[in-house]
Amino acid sequence: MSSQITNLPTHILLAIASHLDRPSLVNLAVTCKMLHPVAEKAIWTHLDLSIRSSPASSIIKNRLSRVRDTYIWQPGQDEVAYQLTIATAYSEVMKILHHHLLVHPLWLRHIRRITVDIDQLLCDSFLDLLRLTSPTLTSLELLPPEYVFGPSRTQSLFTLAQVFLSLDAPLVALRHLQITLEENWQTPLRFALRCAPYLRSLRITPASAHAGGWGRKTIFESPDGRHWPSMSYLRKVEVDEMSEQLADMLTYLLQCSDGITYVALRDQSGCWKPSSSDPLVIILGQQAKLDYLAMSREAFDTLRKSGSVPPIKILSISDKNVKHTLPLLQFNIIPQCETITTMYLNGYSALAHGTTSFGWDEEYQGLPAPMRTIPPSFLDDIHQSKNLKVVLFPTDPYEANYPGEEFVPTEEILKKTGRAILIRTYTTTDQHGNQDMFTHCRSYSAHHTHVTDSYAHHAQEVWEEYTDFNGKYVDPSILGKVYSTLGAEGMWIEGGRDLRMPSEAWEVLRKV
Amino acid sequence: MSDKKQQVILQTSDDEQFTVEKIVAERSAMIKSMMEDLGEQEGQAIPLPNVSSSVLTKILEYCDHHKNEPLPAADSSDADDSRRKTSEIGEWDARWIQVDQEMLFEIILAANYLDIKPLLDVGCKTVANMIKGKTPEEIRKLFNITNDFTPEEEEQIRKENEWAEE
Repeated sequence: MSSQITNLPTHILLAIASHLDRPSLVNLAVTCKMLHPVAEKAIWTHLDLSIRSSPASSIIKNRLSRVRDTYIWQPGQDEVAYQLTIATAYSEVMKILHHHLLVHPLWLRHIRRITVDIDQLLCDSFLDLLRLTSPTLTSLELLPPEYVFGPSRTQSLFTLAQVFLSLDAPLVALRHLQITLEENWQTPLRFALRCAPYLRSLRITPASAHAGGWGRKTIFESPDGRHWPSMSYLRKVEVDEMSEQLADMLTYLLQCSDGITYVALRDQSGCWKPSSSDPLVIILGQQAKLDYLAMSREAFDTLRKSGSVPPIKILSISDKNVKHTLPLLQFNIIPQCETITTMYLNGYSALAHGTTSFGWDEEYQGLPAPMRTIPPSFLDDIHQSKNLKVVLFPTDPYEANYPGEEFVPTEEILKKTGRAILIRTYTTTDQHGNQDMFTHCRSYSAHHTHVTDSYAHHAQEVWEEYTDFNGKYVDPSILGKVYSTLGAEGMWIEGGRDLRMPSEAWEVLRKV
Repeated sequence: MSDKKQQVILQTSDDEQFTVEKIVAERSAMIKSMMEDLGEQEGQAIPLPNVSSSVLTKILEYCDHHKNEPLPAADSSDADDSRRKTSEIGEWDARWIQVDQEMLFEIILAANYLDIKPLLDVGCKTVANMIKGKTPEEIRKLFNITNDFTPEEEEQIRKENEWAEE
């Protein structure tokens, strides 16, 4: 009948294609003349040139791997000469791709997003591609070098500053920029921002990350005191490793924006220790449109002490002092902030990915500790934060899957996140105006290992309940009776506040 | 709170009328703005000439299940964000959208017309999952597509887009 895939409008076909990887798109392109242009457009929308991307996403990966296989470093070989050989071979690959695209000018016009590592392919051909796509490019990601100790000078054919300086026209369509910065970060960032006047989203990544003692941390130069471009359209700022040197620049960007909604100053090792009179802390407190905020525990405490917390809905806290139990559930961890609905408490990644799975002194190694019974102080905090529905303890670094989005839990997402506390409160007011409140928290642990003596106990999908009625602990065994009045509601995984319950359920509770 | 009980009447292409809770109907950005334009005219049906009653019944099921979730922001565009949303479909949605192909495309077209973004997204992801990992011949068979390429043309397209060895 009428409803066939080929009858769908082009924008829907493109939306379908946007969920497919390159190999699937190529298969789709050869099915028929009608789907061919749609699939081809989707293939060339994202020009992924990063060595880290999978071959299913990166067009260049297979060829770069072949270069690697051809030139294997021999012991005793001159390192500089070797790097130069690789760099020359890489730029040759880039040159062929450049030529390939010049032959297909339509594909050039499809390109909206470019992803590239800062140390491999920034050659003449890349610059020309960037120039050719500059009128329509919406997203540019300049990713960290492959080498964990920072970009190798001999490989770097152009510096970022040179790349942006060589553009003859601004990137007027550019909305998102991820930029990887080295010690001398100010000049390249300044040039980049000047080239992208309508930028909405900026992400700053250090050239080398300091991860678990490995790698060399990028120590950014001190501010040189020169002016920053004013980016009034900026809505979202992300810093992957916050440091004090960036604070002045960020303060200025926040000042000039018409309304920042998203700020992430990630700082897993707690390097940024602002005072409550720090200009960045003050300006953060004044952001009336801020929805999302990520900070270290210490920096957030300072913001709280400064007396002005913006009306954030999602808060993401990292704590370098995380131990094997759940110290994050200590008293006063949840800010008394009416607007927060979702809270992320980060710091489990190192534990979750550890390789040791045996225990010392009954401490938990390898996998994070199980969720213990929720302490009463945590309940007090919950009652103070009137909109909080879920607290998540991601086992991966940060909430990588759902950055800044309203969290709607499903079982898959909970499993992926690792552990969480889901919060529900029910309220009712009787004819005399007395309010009753029933609180039900459920803690969830996807996996955990518990080691006693020489035995390791593994468990999956552990749920624990905690309930109180008007602030008094009630045994969770009552839950069956309460929820039997609500039908199948008992297995909820979505939190909620100020929910309603039928009066029979309240009767059950009052009798306890 | 009388707000909760407010209802609207929707009229489908085959002239069937559906009385629906306002909060359910408002999942559709199109119906929502239409209600705002029409104002509070009691009992007036909103015509949906592009949607049949069988498709609307199905879609209302979806809207009812998701009625309490936050509506997507009107200006939310993914263009400025590099990270694509996950391509996973929620468990309930996945079960709900297990329908025959014709119904699936009807749902997608209706979601587009009614402007229900999350539903359109679920529909598109479902079709994408059907395509994933299939050969061109399997895709043609699945969607009843006639191949109008010669084998040479097919080879040419494949070679250029895969950017295979010279």
